[in-house]
Amino acid sequence: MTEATLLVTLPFLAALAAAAHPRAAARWGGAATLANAVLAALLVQDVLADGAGATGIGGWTAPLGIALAADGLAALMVAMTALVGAGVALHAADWSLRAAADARRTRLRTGFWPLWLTTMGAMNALFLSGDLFNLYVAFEILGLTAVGLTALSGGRTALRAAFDYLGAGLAGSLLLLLGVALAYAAAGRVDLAVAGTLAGTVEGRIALALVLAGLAVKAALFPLHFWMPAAHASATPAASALLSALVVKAALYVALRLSLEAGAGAGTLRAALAAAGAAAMFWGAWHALRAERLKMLVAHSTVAQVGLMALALGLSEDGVPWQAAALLMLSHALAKAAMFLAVGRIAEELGHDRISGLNREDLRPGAAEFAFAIAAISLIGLPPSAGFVGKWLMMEGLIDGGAWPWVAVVLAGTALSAAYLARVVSRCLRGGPHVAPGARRPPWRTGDVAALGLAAAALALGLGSALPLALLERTLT
Amino acid sequence: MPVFDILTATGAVFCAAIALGARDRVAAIAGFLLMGLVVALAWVRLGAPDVALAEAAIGAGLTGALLLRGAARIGPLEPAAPPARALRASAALLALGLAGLLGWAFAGAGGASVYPALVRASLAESGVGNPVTAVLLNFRAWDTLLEVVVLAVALLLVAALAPPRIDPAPLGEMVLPFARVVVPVAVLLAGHLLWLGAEAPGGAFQAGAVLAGGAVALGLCGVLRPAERTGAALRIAGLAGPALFVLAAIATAALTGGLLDYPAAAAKTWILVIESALTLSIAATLFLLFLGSEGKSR
Repeated sequence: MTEATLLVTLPFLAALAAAAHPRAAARWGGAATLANAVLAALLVQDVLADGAGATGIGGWTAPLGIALAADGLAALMVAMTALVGAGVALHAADWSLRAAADARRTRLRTGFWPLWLTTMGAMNALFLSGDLFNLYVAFEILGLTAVGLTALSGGRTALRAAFDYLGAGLAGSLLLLLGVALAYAAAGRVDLAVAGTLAGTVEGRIALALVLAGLAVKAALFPLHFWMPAAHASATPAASALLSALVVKAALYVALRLSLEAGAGAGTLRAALAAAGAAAMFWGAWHALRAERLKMLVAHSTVAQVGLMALALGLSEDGVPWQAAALLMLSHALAKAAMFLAVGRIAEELGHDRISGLNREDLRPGAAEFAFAIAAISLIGLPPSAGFVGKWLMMEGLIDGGAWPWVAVVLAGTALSAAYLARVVSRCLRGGPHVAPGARRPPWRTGDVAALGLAAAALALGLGSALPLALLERTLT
Repeated sequence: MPVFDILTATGAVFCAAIALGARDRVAAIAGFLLMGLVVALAWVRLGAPDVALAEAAIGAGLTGALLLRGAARIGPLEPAAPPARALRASAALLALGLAGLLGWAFAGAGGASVYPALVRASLAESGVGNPVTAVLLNFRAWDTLLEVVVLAVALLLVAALAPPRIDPAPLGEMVLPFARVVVPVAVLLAGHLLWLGAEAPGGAFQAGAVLAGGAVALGLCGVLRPAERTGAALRIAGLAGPALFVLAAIATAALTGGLLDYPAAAAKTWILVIESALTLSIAATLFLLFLGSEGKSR
C-alpha cells in the first residue's frame, strides 16, 4: 500500500512546490507526472500479484475512519490517469518551452502545472477512496482545478465558459452533498459500503438519486451537459484533453462504483442512467454533425461518448457486464486526449479550427491528422482498438440477453459517431490533385509524439485488453 | 425555547429572502451577513458550538468582507431582464416539489448514526479531548487535508486569474483607533481558539479566520499594504500550511506505516503543530483572497 499512500500525497506536494516556485513549475510538473506514472505501474503490478488491498487512513477502520482501497477497478483508473497525464504533460512541456519567449504567456505557462498536479492528486485520491463524504471533498478540489484549467487561456469566451462551469459544478456539488447528507440520515454512516443498505429503503434510494444527479452534472450527462461543450472547446489543448479525457471520468467512476455496491436495489436508477445515456448519444452526435468548429465537434462527441458509457452502466440488468463500461472509459480517455491534442496542433498550423477550411492546397496533412484518425478508430469502436473491445463486450451481453432494441440504439450511435468523425478524417485523407505539388508538411513537434502515442495506446490496448480485464477481475464488489 | 427556535428559523429565511430579493447590492450582502449570524445562533441552539464559531467567523464575517469588496470592484451593471413569468413559476414549482420531497425523505430517514458511539470509544486514543477536533484532525484527518488543498487551489486561482489589484485609499485616521483595539484582540483570540481547540470548541479554521479579520483591519487602515515582496511572502505562508500537512502525512506513513497514523502517545503534539501551521496559512490565504491578488497593483 506504499504506492497508494504516495499516489495521494506526492502530487499535492509537487503542486504546492510548483506554485511556490513558478520558475521551475514545468520541472516540478514533469518530475511529479513521471513519478506518478511509475507509482501507478507499481500499484497495478501489486494488485495483479496480491489482489485488492485496503487500509484505514490514520489506523482507524471504516466507518469511523476513511478506507484507502486499491482494487482492480481503482488501479485501472489510476493507471489511466497516469498514462493520459504523461501524454498531456509531454505536450504541455513542449508548449511551455516554445512559449517561454512570450512574456504574455507566463501566467498560462506557470499556472498550468500546479492545477494539473492538484487534479492528478485529487483523481488518485478519488479512485482510491472508500468513503462517500471523502469523495465529495475530492470532487471539490477537482471542480475548482477544472474551472482554473478552463479559464487559463484567459480569453473572454474562456472566462465566460469557466464561470458557467463554476456555476454548474457548484450546483452538482450541492446535489452531491445533499445526497450524502440524506444518505447519512437514512443509514447513519457514510462509507461506500453503505450503498447496499441505501438501495433497500425509499429514503436511501432518493439519496442515491441525488448523488447520481450531482454526478450527472459533473460528468456532463444529457440533459445536464449544457455547460460542457463551451468549457471544453475554449480551453487550451492540454487543458481540454485533461478535462474531456479525465475529469468527466471521475464522476462516471463513482457512478460505476455506487452501482456495483448498490447491487440489484438500484435498478430504477440504472434505468434512468440508460435513458439519459441513449438520449445523450443522439443529442451529442446531432450537434457534432452540425458543428462548424473542430473543437466543438470533439467536445460534442464527448457528450455522445459519455452517453454511451452511461448506457453501458445502466444496462447491466440487460446483460451488459460492468467491465464494458470500465473499458469504454479507459479507451475514451486515451483516444479523446489524443484527439484534443491533435486538434490543438491542427488549429495551430492552420491558424483556425473551422472544419470547412481543413483541406487546404498548400498544406499536407501531418502527424496530428494521423493521430486524429487513429483516435477516431478507437472512438467509433473499430477493431482492434480498446473501444472495440468495450463495445464488443456490451453488444455480446445485449445479444445474449435478447435486448434487441438496445442493440439497435448502440449500432445507431456507432454509425452516427462514424459519420461525424468522418467529416474530419475524410478531409484529411484527400490527396492527389487536391494538394498542390509544392505543398509543405507541418514540422514535427515533441507534442505530436504525445498525441500519436496516446492514440496508438488506445489502438494497442485492444490487442492487449487481457491486461485490463485481468485487473478488473480483482475488483471488490 | 420553542419561541427562540421559531424566531431563528423564520429569521434565517427572512434574511435569505432579503439577500435574494434586495435590488441594492449592499443591502443584499447585508441580508446575507445577517443570515450568517442567525444561522450561527441556530448552530449554538443545535449544540454545535464549533460549527457556530466557524459560521460566524467565515460564513458571516470574512465572506461578507469578500462580497463587499467584490461588489465594490464590479462597478455598476445593467440590470438583466427578469425571466419570463412562466419560467419563474415553473422554477418555483420545481423547487417547492424538491423541497417537499427532501423534507419528507429527511423526516422519514431513521438511520441511527454509528459515529457518536465510535467517537466516544476512541476519543481517549485520539490525543485530544474535543470530539470535533478528534474527528477533524485524527479520525478523518484525510478529509481535512483535502479541504485545505481546496483552499490552496482557491488561492492559486485568484493569483492566476485576478486582474491587477486596486488599492482603495487607506481609511487611515478613521480606522486607526478601531484597529488599535481590534488587531491585538484578534491575535489573542486566535491563539486562544487554537490552543482551546484541543479540549473545547475552537480550532485552526476559526482561529485562522479571526486572525485574517485582524489582518483585514490592518489592510483597511493602510498599515498592511502588500507590495510585491510581502505579497509573495503571504503567498508562501498560504501554501506552507498545506505543504506541512502533506509532509506530516508522509512522515507518519514513514514512521508508523499508516497514512496520518500519528505515533502512539504523541498524537497531541502532531495535531497541535499541524493546527498551528494551518492557522497561519488559513489567515494568510483568506487575507490574500480579500485583497484579490498579491503583488502588482494598478
